Amino acid sequence: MLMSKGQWKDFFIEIKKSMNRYLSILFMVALGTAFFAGLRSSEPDMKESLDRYMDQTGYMNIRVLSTLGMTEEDVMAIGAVKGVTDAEGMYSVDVLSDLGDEARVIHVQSITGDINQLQLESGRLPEAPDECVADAALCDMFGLNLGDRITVYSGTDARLEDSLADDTFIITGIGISPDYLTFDRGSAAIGSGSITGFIAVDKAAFTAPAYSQVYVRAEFLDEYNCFSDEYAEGVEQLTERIEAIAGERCEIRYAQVAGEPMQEIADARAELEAARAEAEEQFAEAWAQITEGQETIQSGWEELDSYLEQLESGKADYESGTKTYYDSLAQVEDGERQIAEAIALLDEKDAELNAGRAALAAGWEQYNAGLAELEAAKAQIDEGEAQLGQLNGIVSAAQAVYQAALDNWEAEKAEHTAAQAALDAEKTASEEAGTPWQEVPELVLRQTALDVEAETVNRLETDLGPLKTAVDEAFAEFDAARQELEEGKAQYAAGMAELETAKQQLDSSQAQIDSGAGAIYAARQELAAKEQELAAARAALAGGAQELEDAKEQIEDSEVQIEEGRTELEKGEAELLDSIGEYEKAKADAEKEFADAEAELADAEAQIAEIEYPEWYVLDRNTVQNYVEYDLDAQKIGGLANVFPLMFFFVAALVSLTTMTRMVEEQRTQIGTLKALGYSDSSIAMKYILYALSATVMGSVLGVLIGSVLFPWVIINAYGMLYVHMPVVLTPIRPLTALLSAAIAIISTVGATWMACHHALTSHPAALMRPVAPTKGKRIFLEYAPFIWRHLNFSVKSTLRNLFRYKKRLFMTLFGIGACMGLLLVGFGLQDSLHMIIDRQYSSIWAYDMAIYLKDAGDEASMEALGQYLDENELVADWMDISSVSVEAEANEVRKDITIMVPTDAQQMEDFVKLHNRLSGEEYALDDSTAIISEKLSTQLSIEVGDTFVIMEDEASQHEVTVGAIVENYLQYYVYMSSEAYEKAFGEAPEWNQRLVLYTAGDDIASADEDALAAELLQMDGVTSLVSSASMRSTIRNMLQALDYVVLVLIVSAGLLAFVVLYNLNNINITERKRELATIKLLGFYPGELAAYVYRENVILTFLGIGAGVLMGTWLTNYVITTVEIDMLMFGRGIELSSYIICSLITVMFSVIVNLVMYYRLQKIDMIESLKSVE
Amino acid sequence: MTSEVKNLSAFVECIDVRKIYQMGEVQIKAADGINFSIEKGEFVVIVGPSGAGKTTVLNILGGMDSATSGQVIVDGVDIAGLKGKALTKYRREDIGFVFQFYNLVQNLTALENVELSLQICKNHLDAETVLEEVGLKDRKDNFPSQLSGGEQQRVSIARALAKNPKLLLCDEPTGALDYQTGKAVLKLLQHTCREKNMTVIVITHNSALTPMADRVIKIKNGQVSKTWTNEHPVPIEEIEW
Repeated sequence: MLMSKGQWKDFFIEIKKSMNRYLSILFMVALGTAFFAGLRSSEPDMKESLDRYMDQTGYMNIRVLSTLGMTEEDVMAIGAVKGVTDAEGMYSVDVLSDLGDEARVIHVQSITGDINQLQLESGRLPEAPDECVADAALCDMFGLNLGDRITVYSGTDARLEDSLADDTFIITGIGISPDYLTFDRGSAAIGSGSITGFIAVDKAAFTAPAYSQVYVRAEFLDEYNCFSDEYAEGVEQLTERIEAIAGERCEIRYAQVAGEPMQEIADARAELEAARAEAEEQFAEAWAQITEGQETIQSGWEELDSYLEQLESGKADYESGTKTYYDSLAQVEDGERQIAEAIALLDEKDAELNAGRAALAAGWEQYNAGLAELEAAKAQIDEGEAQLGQLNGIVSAAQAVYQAALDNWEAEKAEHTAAQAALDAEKTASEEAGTPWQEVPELVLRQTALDVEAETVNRLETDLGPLKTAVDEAFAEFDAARQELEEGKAQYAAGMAELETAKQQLDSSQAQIDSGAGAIYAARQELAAKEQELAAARAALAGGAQELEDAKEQIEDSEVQIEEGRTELEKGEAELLDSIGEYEKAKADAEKEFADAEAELADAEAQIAEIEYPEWYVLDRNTVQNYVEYDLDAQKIGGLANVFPLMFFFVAALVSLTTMTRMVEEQRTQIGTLKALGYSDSSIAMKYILYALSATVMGSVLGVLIGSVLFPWVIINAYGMLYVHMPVVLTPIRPLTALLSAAIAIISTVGATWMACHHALTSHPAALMRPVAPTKGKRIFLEYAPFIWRHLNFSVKSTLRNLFRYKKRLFMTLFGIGACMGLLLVGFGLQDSLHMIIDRQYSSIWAYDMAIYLKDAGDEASMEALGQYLDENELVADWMDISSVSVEAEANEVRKDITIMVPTDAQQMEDFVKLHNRLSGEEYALDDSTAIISEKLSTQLSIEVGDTFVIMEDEASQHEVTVGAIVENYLQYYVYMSSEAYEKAFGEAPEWNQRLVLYTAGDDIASADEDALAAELLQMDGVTSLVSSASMRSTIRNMLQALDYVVLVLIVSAGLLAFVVLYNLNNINITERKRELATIKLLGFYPGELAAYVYRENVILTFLGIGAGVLMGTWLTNYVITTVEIDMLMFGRGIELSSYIICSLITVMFSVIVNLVMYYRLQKIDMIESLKSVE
Repeated sequence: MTSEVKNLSAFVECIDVRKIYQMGEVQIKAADGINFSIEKGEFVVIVGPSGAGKTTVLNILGGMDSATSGQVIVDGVDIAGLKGKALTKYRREDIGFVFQFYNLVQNLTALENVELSLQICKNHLDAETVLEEVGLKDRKDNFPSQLSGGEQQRVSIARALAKNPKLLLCDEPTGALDYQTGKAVLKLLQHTCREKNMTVIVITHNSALTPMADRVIKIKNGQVSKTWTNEHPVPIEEIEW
């Protein structure tokens, strides 16, 4: 080599002595190359990983589809095409299955052999038609395990049997298909429209007549990376060759599907006509039989009627006979009763007669007794007459006595009365003479004599009383006796008369009795004759009763018979009706069957007529959405490789430049000495060049080794959250990239070193041996502002002057710290912007908390029930129906899949979806003529407010719409229209297919509450499915966690960068200013003051670096975000203030750590240094 | 002309100062029992050949290094026993240093360099006055690179003096200067000593300077080989070398 042995030794000692410096170059280079090689490798690594996975799974290179399906012959024909190593037909059908309370779309595909091999995670491939391998994602989602069953049903009018033999499949294996790299399983024309998962079954499970598509593999293509041009070329050739046979195959296929069936239809029609004729004949015959039966029944009815009449008359006869019989019987009985009565009467009379006889006898006796009595009474009367004569004598005597007494008294009395009367007259005369009577003594003597006489009269009267009584009594006794006698006489006379009467009576009675006995006898004779007569009549009646009994029996028999006949007739009639019904039904059925058959034939004919001439589609992997997306994403990462590494190389170059400059300066004397000794410039420079080169080479190796593996690994894993089913991670070291990155690193560092040496080498040895003139102190601009300058202390002044004195260092530090800060900001900013998507989209833009997918908005009953449920549920604050339609939008020849959202009430929209500008915050309302579009749609389609774009449901229906406003939106492309504007554009009213719900608690709803609400809603008619904003948010947030790796790598890189740069800066600062620092130390600065003297510079540089980093980082973050942004997604554009603060703090922390390390070096500075001469 | 060492009112006194460096198994005795004393206000020259141990004496006196054994008494304080912060305090308040290579901070002006040392010192003089005294009034705003060597050394002296130290230690103050300038600097030092009654210790290998000193301490092989005082020091102008 150019260097002598001594120089080599010096070289190694130099490295050993300045290991820190050496390492800082090495690490800086390692960082630069790691980023460069890593990021540059990421794109090819991603592509290679996918290529490997596709080769491993035998993923098809080409697939061929035909509008009429593919046949086994087609498969063979394709297999015979040059270059094709394998062609295999496969069936597929989209069906529905009820999983997790909802109808999910399941893609059923047949298992292919070597092409598109399933990647089993567990279990085995199906061996029977009712076994399947289930999608691992599907199993995860619904907790399905090996041995579980999946039952499917058709999602269209077509019968499941037309495509699948079975409807239930046992899971024997769980795995993934290379068709799917992401969670997205594509779309379907049934159910919700998006496929939830696949199951792979044996071909035998399919009953479909033709393959859905044919997979084609060409092994020669495996050699190439599937993203390479060679591959594209190979595929193109293959495509052309396959397309070349398409014409012939299509002709054959068309003949199969259209020609043959036409003939079949004609045959079927003839057959149908024949069958129709035969059927008509049969019907006519049947009708005749029915008519006959009707007649028979009619005559039966008539006969029955005549029998009925006969029965009626018989019944009447019987009735009258019965009546007669009973009448006669009554008569006979009456007669008998009369006879009995008569006999009884006769017996009575006999008895009476006998009694009369007895009474007569008694009467005679009485008469005789009476007569005797009367005789006795006559005797008594005679006696009484005698007694009375005696009494008469007594009374006459008594009366005579009394007459005498009475006559006396009367005489006396009359004398007294006369005497008195004479006295009284005298008295009166005396009185009248005026002399009272009493004074007349004569009168008084007279009176007294009169009074004594009166007394005698009264006594006489009193004596008269008993006399009178005695007379009366005697007279009464006489009277009584006389009366008694009179009575006895009367009684006797009456008794006599009576007796006489009785005698007469008795005599008449005797006569009567005698005549009575005669009459009774005659009557008895008569009765006997009557009795005989009656007995004869009774015998006659008995015969009549028997006759009647017989007649009755006969009538009853007839009745039963008639009833039977009637039942029979009715039965016959019912039977007849049945057979008529049967006949009519059969006829109608037959007619319908014929009509159906005819319609079917017509349909078939129409279908065949509709069958278009088939066309083949020969498609390559570029029609597989996942594959294309992956390609685009890989390219985006490739784009990142253009910015980051350059930054590191720049810092590496700066570090090398300052370090090597310092080194060369330190070794001026040595260089001068060597030069003086006659060493060539190049051999002297070699030491420094080699110093830098060896550090760079080692750094490059380290960087390439780490970077080529780490970066692609992190990136592929980060993308793994999107491409979940891409298991292959290849991170090979790419020699070209490695060499390129090493070359760039070498050019940067060695170039910088050469620049550092150049100046020294061109100087004369003598100049070199003289101490270098210290870098001059200079006034800085601040000094021209004395009002500021004067107030600064020396350390600050020194610091400021230093900053401006060493521009290289300033620049390096600013750039280094700036890059550190910038990298951190990229990491955190990336996280911010992704999390911002979630936060902004699900909180600030989509204010609604749940979207309910409606089954059929026309079903008013269930809609009303749902509305009522929501109104009454206290978790729900509000709801609104919207229409959400997926269509395409086109402008400036760019086409994007968009979703049109139309609210029922434009006024209410702001409660559910906030339409506002991202930058100005201005809020917009929907008007009735324009559409409000999302921000990324406007950039992608290059349209502004006032421009128009085309919304197309398909090629045939295109509608022009004007942009009314552009709003903030992060997920997908949205176009918002009022229903008026929608109707204006589409000519029809929107269909309300979604219901947005706001919770009372908003985002703070308890997840248990929400789950309960969701479960209840899913039970309701009219609800197909629902999406909760909260669960979407957490799902996405979980996915974004993979980004933490990216942030981690960036933090580590940033830390490394900060360490290297700051360490280097301090290192130079200390070594270069060792003398100054020693002096200051000697002057009596305490350690802290000394450190502050140095650190002040670092602190200022760190803060300036952070300032630069804010600018760089913001720009870089924007660059990264716009570079890696995924279609349909707009990343957040702002970095959070908190991220700026965190990144600044981390940067400050790095700076503090470096400064702490440096503190010990500062303390180790020997004051004696200050006494040494300048080298 | 010569007399024995007087030990009456010693301002600085070294008693049996030893400094031994252990270099592996070899002991190097940089100072091997140094004894001397200096009175206040004296202009002292410590002279000796390279490697004799005079720098060790300077280091120990200047508080940059500590003695292995012995006593170094400065104004009544034994600094040999000081360590760490106390030693630093001694340096910043009691010692003024004049370096061979001036050791000015390059991006501070002359005035600022003086002020730099004042900012850590309590009992200091006015920077501008001191600069005026050393004759650099007009150059005070110049950076070191704009000054000649002598001027720089004068700034260095001003920096040391402004602290108003007890002791002015000068390490080969003329070493980097040309003859005339060196003389001028020495004159300034001598002048300062006389005017301010400042104890000045000049360490040099140049024995030609001994006549200008009040006291001369000659060091050889780590020991004081000889020490004397000049009753009538010769002004520097009269010395030639």
